[in-house]
Amino acid sequence: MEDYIIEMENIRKEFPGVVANDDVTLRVRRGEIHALLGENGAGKSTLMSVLFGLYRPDLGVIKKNGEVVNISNPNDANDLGIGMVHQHFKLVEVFTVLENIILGAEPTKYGFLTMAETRKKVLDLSEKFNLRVDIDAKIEDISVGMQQRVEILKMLYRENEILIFDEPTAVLTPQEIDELMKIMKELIKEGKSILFISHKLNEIMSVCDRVSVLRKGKYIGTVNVADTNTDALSEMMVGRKVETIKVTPKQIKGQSILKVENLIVPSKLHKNNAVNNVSFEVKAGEILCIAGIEGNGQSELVYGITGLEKTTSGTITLNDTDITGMSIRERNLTGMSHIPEDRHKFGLVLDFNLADNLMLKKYFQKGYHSYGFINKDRVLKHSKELIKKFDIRSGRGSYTTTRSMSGGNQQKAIIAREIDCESELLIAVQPTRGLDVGAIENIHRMLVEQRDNNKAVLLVSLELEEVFDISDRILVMYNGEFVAELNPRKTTPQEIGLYMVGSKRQPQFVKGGE
Amino acid sequence: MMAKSRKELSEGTLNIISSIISILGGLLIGFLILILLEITKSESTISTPFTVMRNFLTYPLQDSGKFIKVFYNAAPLILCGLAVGFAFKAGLFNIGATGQYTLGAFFALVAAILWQFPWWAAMLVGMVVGAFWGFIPGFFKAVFNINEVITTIMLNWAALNLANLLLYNMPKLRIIPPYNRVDKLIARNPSALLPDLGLKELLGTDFFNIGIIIAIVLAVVMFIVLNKTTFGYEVKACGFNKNASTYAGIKAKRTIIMTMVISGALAGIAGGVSFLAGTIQFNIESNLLAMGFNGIPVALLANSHPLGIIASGLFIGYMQVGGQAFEGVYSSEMTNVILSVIIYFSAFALIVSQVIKNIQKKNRLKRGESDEDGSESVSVPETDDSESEDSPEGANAKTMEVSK
Amino acid sequence: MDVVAIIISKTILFSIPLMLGALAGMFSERSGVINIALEGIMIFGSLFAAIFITKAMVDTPLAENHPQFVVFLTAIIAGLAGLIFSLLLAYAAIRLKANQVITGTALNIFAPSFAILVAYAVITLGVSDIPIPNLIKFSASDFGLDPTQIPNWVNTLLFKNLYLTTFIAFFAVAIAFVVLYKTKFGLRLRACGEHPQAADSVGIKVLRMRYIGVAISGFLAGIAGFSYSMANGGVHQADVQGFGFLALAVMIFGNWKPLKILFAALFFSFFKTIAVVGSTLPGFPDFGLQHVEYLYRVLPYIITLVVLAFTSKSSRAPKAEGIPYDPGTR
Repeated sequence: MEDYIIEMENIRKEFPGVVANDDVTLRVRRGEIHALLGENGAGKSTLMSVLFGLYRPDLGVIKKNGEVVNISNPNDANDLGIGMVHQHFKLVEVFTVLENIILGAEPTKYGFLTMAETRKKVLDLSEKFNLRVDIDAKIEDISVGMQQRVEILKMLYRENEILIFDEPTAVLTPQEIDELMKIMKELIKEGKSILFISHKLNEIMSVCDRVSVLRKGKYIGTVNVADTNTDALSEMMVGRKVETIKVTPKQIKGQSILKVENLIVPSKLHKNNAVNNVSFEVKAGEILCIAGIEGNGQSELVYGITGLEKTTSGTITLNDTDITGMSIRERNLTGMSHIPEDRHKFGLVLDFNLADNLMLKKYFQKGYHSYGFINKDRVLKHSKELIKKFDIRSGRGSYTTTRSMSGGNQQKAIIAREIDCESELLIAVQPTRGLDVGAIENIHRMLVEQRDNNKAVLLVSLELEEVFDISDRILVMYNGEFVAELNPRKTTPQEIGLYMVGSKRQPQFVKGGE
Repeated sequence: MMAKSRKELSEGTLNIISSIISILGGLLIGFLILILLEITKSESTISTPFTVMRNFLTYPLQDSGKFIKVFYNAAPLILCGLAVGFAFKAGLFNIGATGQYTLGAFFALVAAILWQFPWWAAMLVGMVVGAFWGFIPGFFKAVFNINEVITTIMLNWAALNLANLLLYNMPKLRIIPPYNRVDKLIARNPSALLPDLGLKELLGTDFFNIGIIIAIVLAVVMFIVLNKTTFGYEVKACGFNKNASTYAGIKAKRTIIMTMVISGALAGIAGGVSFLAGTIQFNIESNLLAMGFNGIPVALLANSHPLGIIASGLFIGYMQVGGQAFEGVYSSEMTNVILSVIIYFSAFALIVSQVIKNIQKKNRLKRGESDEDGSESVSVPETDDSESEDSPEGANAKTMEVSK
Repeated sequence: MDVVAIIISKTILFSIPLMLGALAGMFSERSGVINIALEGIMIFGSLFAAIFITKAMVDTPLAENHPQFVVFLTAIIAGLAGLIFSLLLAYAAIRLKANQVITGTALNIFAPSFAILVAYAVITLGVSDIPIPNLIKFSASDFGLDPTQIPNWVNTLLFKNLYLTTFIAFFAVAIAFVVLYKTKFGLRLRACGEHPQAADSVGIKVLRMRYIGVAISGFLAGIAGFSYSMANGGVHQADVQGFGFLALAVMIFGNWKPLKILFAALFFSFFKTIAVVGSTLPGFPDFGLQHVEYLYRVLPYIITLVVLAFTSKSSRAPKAEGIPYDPGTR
């Protein structure tokens, strides 16, 4: 009889419009490090949130030590000995390390904090598990690696035995990652069991015992790490579908439209750079796709190029003009369009009607106004044209409140607007996120059309299918840097996967090499 | 046309419903307080609160003089409502209308009396001063990111004391006994009085002037600015979604400052309208003038819509006249109580309409309702933290999402 | 010497409502709720304190023999009145997730009118001021000293402007400091205002904490109102002349910390005192102006603005304040 400490059986969790977990089963043995592997949107975080009590499953049971348990909030999870280190740390920045560790489980006497004994307990734990922390430092002053150790100490202080790590290495330096691996092995020696959520294959291979794979909400299977390798895992993760390439091969003869040199963009979350000395070019008549797992610097790269975020150093040249110091509007007018990754935050003013959103980039131009008075006819004409050309469906046409439109049509509106700008450079970040097959095909067709019209298209995508369907050239981004430049016709999803997870790096991108 | 299986409330209808709920709520609470107060008096009967309430509601209709007073009251209310409402549209909370109103009024009088300006020029002076007093908090918000609520309130008190100081030190303003307030305009400069189109005599009341016309015209102007100009477009974009407006290349700082300047200007004009009417004199005041604060419920009730503000201004003006039906001493307090309860409820009203909108959206998704191409998308809460509006550290500096 | 004594003792006197008010604002904002309604809550507290002491306490044996105990009871009443009033803000902000600034402003507009009406109804029709009986005052004899034996300026400095609320305020600062930094409650409260998701994830009930934070805020603000009336010549008026907002500025300037608030309150009170007292005392410049007191009155407000501008960079508000917490967005 297998000694499973945690069993999640036939879990189903649905959100409006999407099944995040579809009949998923996960069994964790006592004393093992069990990895949960999958791409973005596979359902890993949702499953762990269910285990930690942040969500309740629609169907399925959770068992601990063979007995069915009910976890309806993090307190329940904690009482069962389950603890979680979240991807975005849940630490109070102005509190000290010690204060954060004891928060919620404070030692008190008549309501007053009695720190002396607890200090000792925490220092002992820190030493025992080799978790170096500066116990009186404020969270906002310590490194990300140390912050993570604080999260781990939180769990140990509460004597949790089942420890969940959600993408723990996303924000760590290579040295800090090595340390973490050692710490995890220590924890196992002391009798803990660990659930390790990750998409980084080499780390999984180096420290885990078994791996369960999720893909698009479904459970694919569980294998022993000893019996497998990164290729096989990569295949399980992305699926075996053979991708048909929809883009006809084209000789790129166009000139360089966008040139980025030595760009550095600082990170808001941690002290490392989000974009670390990156250089590349996009030419007219090509779709260059930046592939990679979310959180490796793609967003910041685009924000830096478009001007939404400040860059520390480097130059950006567009249409032979140096735009590095220019305002957002100036960059747009120099020849840049941007389909943003967060359509509600940046792409649309949801409380505006459709026509007003469609003119967001043009309202100040000649023809759309005279002496400051908006030319309503022009605006409507423009809106009607775009609605027709791009087949944007909405309740009341140009007068629809954008908030009430479906996501697909909102995205179409944004794309329509940006393409209509006829900029030489079109930046599209995850343009098909959350959309169904029909809408995706539509958008892909439009992007390819732009390319055929000799525009430069910079595509940032998390979906490998998309990467293969429409790109002419692929740059893989990992940890703020490019690690590979690939030809979609000459590579495979599995190979890209290896670059995406940091397993491989092409020689020209190895630091110190040229 | 999107197929709807159930009729959904439109935006405009929702706003009107929430306004009505607020008003009814305010009236109800006022009624209850009235009952409580009556209970403490010995000679009241069961029917007294009802009678009083009815008198309150019908008082302005009793004769033409009272009715015209409604418009007289409404004019500065509408203008202050426009001031507050316009700022709301940009996501700013201008509680400083009082200070802008006060200084605008004072300097309009200075221009009228000391410089012998005609009414329209004096009005312009008031407008400019009000605009300046609005510029200051706008500047502080844009550059130092200091919350405009604190700065405007500080400036309210500064304005009051400044006006008092200036009044005492400009004796030429006060050459007629009792020498402790600005002289009547009719004695010092009749050309500074707001014109009445010769109707004062005809209608038999001192309270008629073109102030209401100025207010309505400016309301229409603000409506045009907000809805038909590129500037208004930018103001609304900033107020609705600061991120998207930055993405679109709009300069947020400049928009904030311009908005506060215009807001202040409107409040300044309100001051001119009030004090160039010839009906009241500018006194040494120890308390902030209420008019600026009354602009808040005017704006909220109309959801900051300039044309709606005309209606809510008239409504509150009506209530103020009706308030005189409350027994002498009670009158203004009762009206204020009702007004403030209305504001309290209108803060809810915004929420109520948001809640209704959310419910409608959820129902729409649940029914699997989509439009003809069948595409429907929802974002799955894949990561645990939703990115909340990151507030810059600084004196309580958060963009208040006031206009929804 | 007399002049200095007056200035110092009045500075302390006027700092009390600011101190209590700022502490009130601090507790609320530390838990995550912006409390703009301090002005209104102060009026509310002052109103009920005045009614209580004039209606229930005057001419009772308790007042005769233990006047300061009566003052203490009155302060409690003021606090409770403020607490109840603040629940209106709490409910709207926490449960209904209404805009905290609008709701607070509504309460600020409601309170003065309500106070006037109640005064008419309960005390005298047409009169909204309620004088507070002299029993609240201290004299040197309360401390065992013979008033005729001590120099005039010492009397002014120490006793003339001393009230029970002076002690209460300084005590409150000390308690606030201890509670905030040395107790489990304080730690959890602060967590709710900084990072409610983190607090929630360790099992803290954020919404309940915020209710408590606002309630404490209301209690302290009520007492602040009572202390204002005492400082204001011993008269309750349905108006606190912007002290509620000055208290907010003190809170910001004090960086939401009890000890800094104490000093910030003294700092602002000093300017307020100069405004009220300065022009009547010899030796203060009048710049050739009539009624120069109005110039001095403008001073505290302008100084506030300037100071806020300069300290805006290092100001550290509780990170999550003003944002309604939705447990659904864990």
